[in-house]
Amino acid sequence: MRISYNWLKEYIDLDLSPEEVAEKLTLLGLEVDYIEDWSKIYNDLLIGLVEEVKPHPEADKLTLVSVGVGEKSFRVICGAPNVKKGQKVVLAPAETTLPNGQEIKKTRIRGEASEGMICSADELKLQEERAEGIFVLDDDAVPGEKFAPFFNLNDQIFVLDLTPNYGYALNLIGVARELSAAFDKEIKYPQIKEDQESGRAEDLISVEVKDHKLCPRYTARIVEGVEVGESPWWLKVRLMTAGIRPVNNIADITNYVMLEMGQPLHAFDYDKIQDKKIVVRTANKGEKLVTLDDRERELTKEDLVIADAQKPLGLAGVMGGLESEINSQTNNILLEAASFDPYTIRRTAKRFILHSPSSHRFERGIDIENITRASRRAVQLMAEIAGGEVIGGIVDNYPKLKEPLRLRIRPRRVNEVLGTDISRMEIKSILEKLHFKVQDSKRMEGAFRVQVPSFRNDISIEADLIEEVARIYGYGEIPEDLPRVNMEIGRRRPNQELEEKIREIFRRAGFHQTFNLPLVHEDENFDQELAKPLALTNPLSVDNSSLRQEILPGLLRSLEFNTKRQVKKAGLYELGDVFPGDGPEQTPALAALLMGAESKKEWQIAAPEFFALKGILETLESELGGEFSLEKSNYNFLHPGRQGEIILNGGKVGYIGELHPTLQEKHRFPERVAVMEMRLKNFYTQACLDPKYDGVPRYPAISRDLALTIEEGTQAAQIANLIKQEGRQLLEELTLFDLYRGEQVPENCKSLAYRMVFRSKERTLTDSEVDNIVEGIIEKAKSEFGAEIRK
Amino acid sequence: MEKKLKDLDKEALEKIKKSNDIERLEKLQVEFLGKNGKVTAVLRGMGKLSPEKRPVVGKLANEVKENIEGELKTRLNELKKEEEKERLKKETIDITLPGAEVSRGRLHPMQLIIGQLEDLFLRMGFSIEEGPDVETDYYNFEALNIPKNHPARDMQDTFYVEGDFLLRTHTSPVQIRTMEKQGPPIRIITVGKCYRVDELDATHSPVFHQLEGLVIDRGISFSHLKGVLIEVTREIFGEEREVRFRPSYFPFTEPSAEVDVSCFKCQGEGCPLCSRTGWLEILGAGMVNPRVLEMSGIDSEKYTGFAFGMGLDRMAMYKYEIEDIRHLWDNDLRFLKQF
Repeated sequence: MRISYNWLKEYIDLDLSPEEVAEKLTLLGLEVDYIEDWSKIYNDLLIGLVEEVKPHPEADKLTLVSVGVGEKSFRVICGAPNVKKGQKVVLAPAETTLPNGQEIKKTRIRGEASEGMICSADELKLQEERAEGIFVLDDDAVPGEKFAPFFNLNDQIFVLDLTPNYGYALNLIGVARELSAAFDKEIKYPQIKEDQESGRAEDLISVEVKDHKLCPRYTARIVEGVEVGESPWWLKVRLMTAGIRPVNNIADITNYVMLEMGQPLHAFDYDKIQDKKIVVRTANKGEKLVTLDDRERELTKEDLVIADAQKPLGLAGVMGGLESEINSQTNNILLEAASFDPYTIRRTAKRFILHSPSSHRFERGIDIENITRASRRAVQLMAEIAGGEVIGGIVDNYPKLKEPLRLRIRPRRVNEVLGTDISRMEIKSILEKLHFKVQDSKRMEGAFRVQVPSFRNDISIEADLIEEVARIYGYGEIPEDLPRVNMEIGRRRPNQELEEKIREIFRRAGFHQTFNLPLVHEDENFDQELAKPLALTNPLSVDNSSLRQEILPGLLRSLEFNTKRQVKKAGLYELGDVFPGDGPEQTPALAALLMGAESKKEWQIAAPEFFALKGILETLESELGGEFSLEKSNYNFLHPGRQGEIILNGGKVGYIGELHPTLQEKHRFPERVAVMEMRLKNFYTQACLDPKYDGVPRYPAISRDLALTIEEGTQAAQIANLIKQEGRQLLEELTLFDLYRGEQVPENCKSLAYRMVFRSKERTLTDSEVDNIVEGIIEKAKSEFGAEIRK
Repeated sequence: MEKKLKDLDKEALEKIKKSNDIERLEKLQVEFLGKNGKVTAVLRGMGKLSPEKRPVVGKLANEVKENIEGELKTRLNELKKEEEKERLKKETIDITLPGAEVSRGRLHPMQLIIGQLEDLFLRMGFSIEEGPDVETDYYNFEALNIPKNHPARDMQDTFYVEGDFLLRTHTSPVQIRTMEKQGPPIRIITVGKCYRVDELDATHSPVFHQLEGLVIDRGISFSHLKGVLIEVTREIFGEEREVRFRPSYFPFTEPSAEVDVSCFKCQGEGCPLCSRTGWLEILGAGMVNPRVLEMSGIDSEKYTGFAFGMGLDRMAMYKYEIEDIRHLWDNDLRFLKQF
């Protein structure tokens, strides 16, 4: 909503700067986004008198014009065909800027100097389409004076961003009412003459409303013999301040009154109405209507239309029809002022994507008691401006009068809710300033009975009244306090604590946390066993049409973003929810990737990224619990020889592996990329936050190294498990410290070197005891895997 | 004999003084005090002395021995010190060379904001609740007093999900879920992703993060809301910030408020960051609408409450002066490494 300060001042005397008014409006809840300062835009322009017009000696189409601005005159070269001596024009002197942003400079055109420019209507931003010639002012313009005040353009426009509850402030008087309450000033309502309530209107038109729920009130007035044409400039400028394009005087007046009083109006060409009958009804299925924007609309039973005896004339409250539109041939006007069901209007406007100033107001609710006043105002303006004759009387179809809403407000409750100490009388006074009628409640001591004014559709309960009191009292005046509550400790949930720990583990390991959009392409999943993803029914694009089931695809996109910017090494992860599909559930997941890593350990050199990532998995295990193992897997997006399922206590929770070299190449990743993804739900149920203390060892340990030569096909984990089994509780630590192939090791074999640390909690172990255990290990390794000891 | 001892003493001290390395000192030790050393030899000859002389000479001999020993030790320490000094000098490094790289990952700036706010609310005794991203119309709208076809739905352009679900447009459904689960008193926050139909550009994102708070108890008032939120804004943006409350509209709160903090870039003078208003809008809040309490089965006469919601992406952008919201989703390492 755009509110002109000049216009606003017609309804309330304000001696404040625009900034002060804007701040007050914002603090009342009518948020001012910004102030458009037109006085700056139009500041440099002067009214000039064309004193002399001579042909340009070197150019046929140009003239040399002398423009008088009081004592001085400017010499201007003009190309407009309509320039004539004696005209009053708008002059932009050199070194100024036009409202459309064009800068005016001193120039020479074919040898002749020009000291400014005579402006056209579009250069002045008074019309959108390009004007044929210069803009000529009426004779009462005074040369030498500034142009802006003459057209009321020395204005400031408040651009309001109103929330849906401020339907009553979508007009000048509504805004003035708010300020009148805030500043305790009178409102000056526009002069509207009394109706000639008897007249022929009822003979000229009949109105039938099929469903009064959808149209509680419909009124019609008739104006005869109008001359449709352009509006006077004062009216056009008013509409322009509100951002509404002038059309013709009749349409402009309906818009003017809507802007002033908040009531949307519609003017029909009376002579186009069949049988002089207006029917307000829902459309028949398949019925068609060409709207003002020249588009044919197929209607449904949900749409409310204004029809004549035969066909729809317009979409009620949304947009008129082309056929009954006012044009230069129109003589007689039927003016509609009505109230329509907000939801119905909203549904239709939404379906046709026809959001009009009229539908905007109907959706938010209009003042049903203001209808006849608004239409009276409009027809009187029509008579004045378009020269018509107002037919006496009105057709007013309003069978069920709207009862005013009465609410109770308890001053004690007001202060309880706000934490204030506002007196009973002040509460009464605030509500009265806002046009509520306040009486002492007969039923409850101390309470008030409040009658809500008809324009306040947003008020329905006591809490709404409390907000009204707070608004005018001032939110800033309400004291600050901290609640006195029962002592209670705030806690993170265990899973939230675990997430903190996981992030810490990654942070220590040099991984960067990422956030990836959970809205993804429907088939970007790597794991082909996943269910169908949850799809949006109104996505922004195919690429964001589903809810992610895996984090990894997004993580790889982030990696690609970086490798395209010369990044060679990166560790990234995300801890976030995924949506498994088959229902609305979500579940926590973890994905990580690592590109470019180094390792000094012999067996890790071949795939340092993989083993670094596996190290993270092992850290999760050692710090938070749970027992992970890896099992052979067969994912086609992973390197066939470097991948595995992540198993947690017997169940699959995810995968780890190296990205398939083909994919690596496709994404142009400069180094190998190890990736992992796992669901965390089961991990969270098993993980343990508190460290478990197991005493400091009291007896010495004995360590032994053991190098076993085994066949390539045997996995390290098989040997490790065997050692653990044989070592039982006495084996405290088992570390692989070497993997060797080459001299002394037969072909197709490898040698694994372990360090084992043995310790008992109860006593000092003897060497022979430990030797026995090691012997046992060796025997078992020989018999089960054909292992040989490497000396 | 006494003279001999005195001469030895003199000789030894001179030699000690002149010796310039530890090896030489060790030799002197042997020469004078060793098994076959000169002083030892004199002591051995003590038996030949008369009993009267013996204690006198003995005392002297011991004095000489201790003296030599002492001097040897002193000189040894001197030499050791010199040697060490020399060695350390050679070990001098250029301390301006770069330090070793400490591998350290970073938390995402969004996480930093979330962590800071969560900690603050935990200190104030709030618990952290959770709720689903995929919601029903009931929790996202109806139960929050936003009926179908209400213009307030335009404030939040909604993504719909197959199967009669939608993506929550705010974290407020968690309010309802919490009220259903537990009766008053309630003191919770929740943090999560929200979704609205907005193309991703410099200032909009279809996905964003919100922090929602809800307090319900006897005697909770608007002034408590002000007190708590002023604490929060000062914690995030600094003590010297001014905080402004102004009326606003949310169907689920009444009275409702928008909270602005004075622009920290221009100190309220007006700059592009604050659209020249001097204020930055940071959160919406209000007293829980009695209708919402009643719908969730809480007696609105007995209990009152307040709720608030803040956009964390915007908070992060303000706090770290991030100019483009897409930085929060690109995961550009040049960006991430700055936090």
